[in-house]
Amino acid sequence: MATESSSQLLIQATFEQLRELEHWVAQLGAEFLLSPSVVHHIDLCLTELVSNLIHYGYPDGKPGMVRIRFWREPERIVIRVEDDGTPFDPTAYVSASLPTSLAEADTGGRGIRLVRHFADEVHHLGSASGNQLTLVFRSPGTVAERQPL
Amino acid sequence: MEMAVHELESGILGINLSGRMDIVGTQQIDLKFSALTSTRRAQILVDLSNVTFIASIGIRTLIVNAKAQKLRGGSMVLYKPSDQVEEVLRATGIQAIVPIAHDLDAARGAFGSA
Repeated sequence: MATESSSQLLIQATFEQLRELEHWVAQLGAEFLLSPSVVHHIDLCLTELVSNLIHYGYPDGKPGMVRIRFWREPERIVIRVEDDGTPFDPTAYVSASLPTSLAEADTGGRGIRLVRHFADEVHHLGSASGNQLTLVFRSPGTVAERQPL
Repeated sequence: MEMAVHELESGILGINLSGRMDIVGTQQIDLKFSALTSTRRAQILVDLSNVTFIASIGIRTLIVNAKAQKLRGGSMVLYKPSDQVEEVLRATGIQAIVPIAHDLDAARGAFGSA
């Protein structure tokens, strides 16, 4: 669902729904004239966060729902992810240090690092009922210029 | 995701990956990729030029198999990722442990020093 400057998606937290997420992000790019770079960063961050939620958010094996809202402000883009999974604060997660040798490299744990790298701000609010994560993307040329007629 | 295999000169094994390397895509190639890259000693050139997107799960697959290949005395080089994919690879620091090359000469050099 899209208004002039916002859109939202509601999906079940399952791997099958990741394609729905991918298509919604692509649509955001087209509807809101986002640069390919910003679309990619949003795509990656949401893929990592929702994948994490699917893997770890429902230990009872019953996937819940995740609502993703997008809105555009004059100088930034805001994405809010709300889920009903196990409380998890990615801002408090300590990422493994960057690898220096193949032998010592961790095989996992890079998803949160990628979110923090590509989103300019990451804010978490947790409660007993789930999580609210807000991503902010701020960069010059975030929105492609409309060409005058 | 799709995967195609071919032998390059000097016995280098080329693996062309294409598509989106997220959870779904990686699962589609994981077993075949592991079978090719970690069960025998080889110099593996993983062509990423047709990979449109890579998530941490895809990077994990590359690292796991690069580690396995290293234990066998072989090596892996990541070849011609797009700017977008390379940006993600470098954000994880993978280039420090699995070389990235954009032409065959650089790839051969990377095999030599890996």
